[in-house]
Amino acid sequence: MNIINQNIKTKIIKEDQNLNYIFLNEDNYNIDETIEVLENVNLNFLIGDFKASNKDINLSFNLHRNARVYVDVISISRLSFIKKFHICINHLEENSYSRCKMIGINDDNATLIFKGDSFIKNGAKNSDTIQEARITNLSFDCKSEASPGLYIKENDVKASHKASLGSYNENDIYYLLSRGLTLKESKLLISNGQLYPIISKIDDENIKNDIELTIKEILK
Amino acid sequence: MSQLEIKNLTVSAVGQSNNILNDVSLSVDKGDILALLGPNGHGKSTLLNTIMGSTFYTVNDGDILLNKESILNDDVTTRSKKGIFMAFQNPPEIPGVITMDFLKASMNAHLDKPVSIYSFYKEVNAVYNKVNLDDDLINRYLNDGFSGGEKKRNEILQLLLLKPQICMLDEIDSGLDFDSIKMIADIINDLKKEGTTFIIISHYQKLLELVKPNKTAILVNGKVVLEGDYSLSLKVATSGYSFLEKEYHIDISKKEKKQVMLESCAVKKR
Repeated sequence: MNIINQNIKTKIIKEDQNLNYIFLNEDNYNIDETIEVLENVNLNFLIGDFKASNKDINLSFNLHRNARVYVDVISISRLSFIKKFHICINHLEENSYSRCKMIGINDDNATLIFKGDSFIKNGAKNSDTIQEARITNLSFDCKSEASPGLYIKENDVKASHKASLGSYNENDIYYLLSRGLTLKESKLLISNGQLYPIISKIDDENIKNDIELTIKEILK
Repeated sequence: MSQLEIKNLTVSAVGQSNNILNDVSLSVDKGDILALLGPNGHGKSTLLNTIMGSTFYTVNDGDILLNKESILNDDVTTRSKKGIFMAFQNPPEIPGVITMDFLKASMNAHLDKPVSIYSFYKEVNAVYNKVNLDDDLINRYLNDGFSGGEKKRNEILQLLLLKPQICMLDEIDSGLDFDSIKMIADIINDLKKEGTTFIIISHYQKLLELVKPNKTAILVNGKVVLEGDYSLSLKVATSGYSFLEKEYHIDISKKEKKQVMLESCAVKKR
């Protein structure tokens, strides 16, 4: 696992890799990078952002023939911080595959923006892409934006996107309450459930525990 | 002493002025099985959800007493901990929430100290066998991708784990095959012998024949129009609700408040 507190420097991915980029301190970050994923390479890319600071993260992935990339972004935004994540996936050649999932929790007066774009270029036949973004709002004053986009210039491709914004589903909360859980326990169960599939990919147990404590702190 | 008493309950949906339940009074004693019947859309599920404490409804008048104490000011969590359980008509699918985590949290909510891992797995394995569910479902997201029958049996599984004193079953038999209905009926009858109380909403004869409710109440347009014993359940199950009009002159058509047009703003000119 790679843990960073500096701008990403890797630009060309030549072999299968798992990259975890976890922001460990409360510095503001502004990142603008392009990552080439070469032919037949699989890349698992995870961004974990749980600290109180501003973020402006712009990442582009260029996928070559048979390349596969899984991008997971988790972000928790609080107080008055502004966090923007723009993940752009360019399917340059045929049989390229991508899955981009962005999950966030937004609270207080914070701003959280998820923008996920998939471009399928002319010639990238049989490409397959899904963009997904979901933000749970915990306060009325927070500002959230989730906008996945698909730009397709080829036939015989698979492409879909989904986005959701909002607070907890009232029916789900009611169901959990009816089993004796408190409101806080119910929200924690649901929030952990949304984040767990991504958090489970982080190797470091200390960081996982830190994330759990951060979520509990937010929900108290 | 009645275990659960509904007294002159009048309920509307939050934000709505028309009442769904009108002056409803019912009572059940410990170990009773009450069949709550009535045509679709006349307030049966509303009554169960109001007893459960759902904030989707407002109690405008009346009271709900559990063991002689009012629970109107108790929230949903408290009512669950006091021993009220509802099997949902449409259990929600909650992706991301692992069933095992949910079951453990639910059990712990009803215990003085957290259940041990050994006890948890022992109990859970036993109830999965009892409701004939694949125990691999415990690792799946809660109700996510479950068939209709699996969702209903998952409700019964939770009932068995939480051991409530009052169980409200909202159409637990809809969509189930005969074997599943028989399995649920056996569980109900076993628990009844131990003193568990049931309120059952059902539209089908089979379950009612197997559990033989000792009390029946028919709800029409939010009012209890008729009460009786098991023979009344059987009558409804075999002949429907038309006898209410023929024998008791009870109108079973749905009464809906019609909107009144105060003025027209459209003007047509030649």
